[in-house]
Amino acid sequence: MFIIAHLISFLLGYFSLSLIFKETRYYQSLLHLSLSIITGLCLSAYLTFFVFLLFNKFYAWLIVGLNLLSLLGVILLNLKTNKNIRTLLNPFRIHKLSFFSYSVICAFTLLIALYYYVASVHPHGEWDAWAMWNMKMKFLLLSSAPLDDILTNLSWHTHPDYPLLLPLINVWLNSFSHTHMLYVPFITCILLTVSCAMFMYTGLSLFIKKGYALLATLILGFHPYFAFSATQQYADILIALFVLISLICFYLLDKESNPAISILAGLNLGFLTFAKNEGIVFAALLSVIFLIRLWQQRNKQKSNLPCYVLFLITLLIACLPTIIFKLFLAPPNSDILPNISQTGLQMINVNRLAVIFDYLGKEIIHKKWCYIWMLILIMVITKLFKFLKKETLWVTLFFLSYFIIIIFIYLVSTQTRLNWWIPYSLPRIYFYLLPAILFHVFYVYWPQNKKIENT
Amino acid sequence: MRQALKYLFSLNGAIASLCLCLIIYNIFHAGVYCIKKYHENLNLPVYLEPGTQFETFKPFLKNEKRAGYLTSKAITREDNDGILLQAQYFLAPTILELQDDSHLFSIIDSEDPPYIVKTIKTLNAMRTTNNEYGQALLLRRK
Repeated sequence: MFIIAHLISFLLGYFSLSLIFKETRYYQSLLHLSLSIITGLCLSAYLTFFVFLLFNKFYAWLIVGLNLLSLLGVILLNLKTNKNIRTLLNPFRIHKLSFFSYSVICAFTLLIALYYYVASVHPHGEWDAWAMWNMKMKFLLLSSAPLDDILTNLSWHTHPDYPLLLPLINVWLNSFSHTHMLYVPFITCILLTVSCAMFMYTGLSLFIKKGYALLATLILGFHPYFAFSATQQYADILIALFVLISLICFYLLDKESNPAISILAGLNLGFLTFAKNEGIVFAALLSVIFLIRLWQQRNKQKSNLPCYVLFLITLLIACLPTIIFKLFLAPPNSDILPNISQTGLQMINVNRLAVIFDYLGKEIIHKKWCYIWMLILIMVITKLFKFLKKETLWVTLFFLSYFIIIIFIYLVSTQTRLNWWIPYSLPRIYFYLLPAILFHVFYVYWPQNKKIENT
Repeated sequence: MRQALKYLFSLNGAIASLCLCLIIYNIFHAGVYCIKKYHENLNLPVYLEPGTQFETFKPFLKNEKRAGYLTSKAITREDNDGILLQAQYFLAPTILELQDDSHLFSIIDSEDPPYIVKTIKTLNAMRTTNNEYGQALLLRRK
């Protein structure tokens, strides 16, 4: 029954994106189809969040009704903007499939089977799945005052300051059931994992030869630790997905100033902030590089509003749930901020820094990563100059900045012992950075297509 | 053929070959992982939901908004066996308040007999149910 919720979200995402994309270019059709389900699920989660804000209780009929009304609204808006049914269904036109396309379809079929099997090995997810994300989903569904319970009454072990995008997506999908279904988070994590692999292929094939794009997708897709981590039912897969989509948007904007992509980028970064606390850091860093790049291109733009203005407006609107949640609802985060008045600055020392770098290095060569980081390092070193060129420098700096922030947080936080915290958190950081870093490395390394629409 | 060989011996060709080797390596390890898990799980056909050991507690706590969780074990960020969180997950939406004995029902989780006896006497409680993993549900006597 919750497949109906997926369908509604897909259509909501599809018709919402139809308002943005003008379908004049093929690559927009490809992105349009790929992004529909993810955008739709996030929009449905936002609508669900607003129901909880207003009524502080789970009303399935209200959530479903609101989603259906929104769907009707976007369809009518599309028809009003003089789009006929033929234009609206453009992305669904099946092009003649080549042998290569059949190979891609076979590869993705195998990937879906792999992810289903790996997910079924831990069908309830790992520790943080039932201790945090799925627990919050249960409270949202079953409690008489869910926001009060999640934000105030539950133990601090459940991280009440974390945003609620993943639990809200699962709550929305559960709206089509009378009792909570543990199968919903299971299917959600598989869907998000497959989406990550799909965006890797879709995104890279816009810029480089499809063969190389498929190579990157298969390296990521069949990676055992990636498959295991992505199906743990954590929000880390959402971070990985949105950062990857953001990079695709950045490189598209780099090639041409497109208002539709600016809006998409703002929307995506907004969703990213509501996924996890780390998403806020990512969104802040990515916003800076987006704004710098859009500002540099402002003279080439043909739209009425400058692209950087469109980006900012969309970002602010999409960040609204995060702003409300963080400013008015969530307790402060006590994990990261240092208590300098009590501990002083004695934690900032060379010894601690050496320990951090030791862990960073050891994690790269750990056998669970199956030498993927070694491959990435080899590719970076062999063409280092390309990573420092004008157009790719911003993204390289973005990754370096994020690593500096991580090192700083490890350095100054005194809430837990480093020897306990780093082995627990670092693999997850490497996991959600892997798709974006792999994308960036393949984008920079291989020769690029002359035009984006190389289909 | 000549062009293919030329490509293979170039830097790009070498990296592409490395990528292909890595894909095969990943597929091999993914396959090994799947086969290993399949054999491990042959003797474990049913995946129990986390906190299932508290199933017998649920009928008593069904209409309770809050209950206590009393334990002599360490429940810190680093030293934590996860039983409290499993109980909280399974018994949701009942809130379990750590080391709070003011509620009608309290879950006691301890392997320390003096602690258990002292707690029962202090609360003037009786055991309503327990599981075979060392947890019991206490009800305050009126």
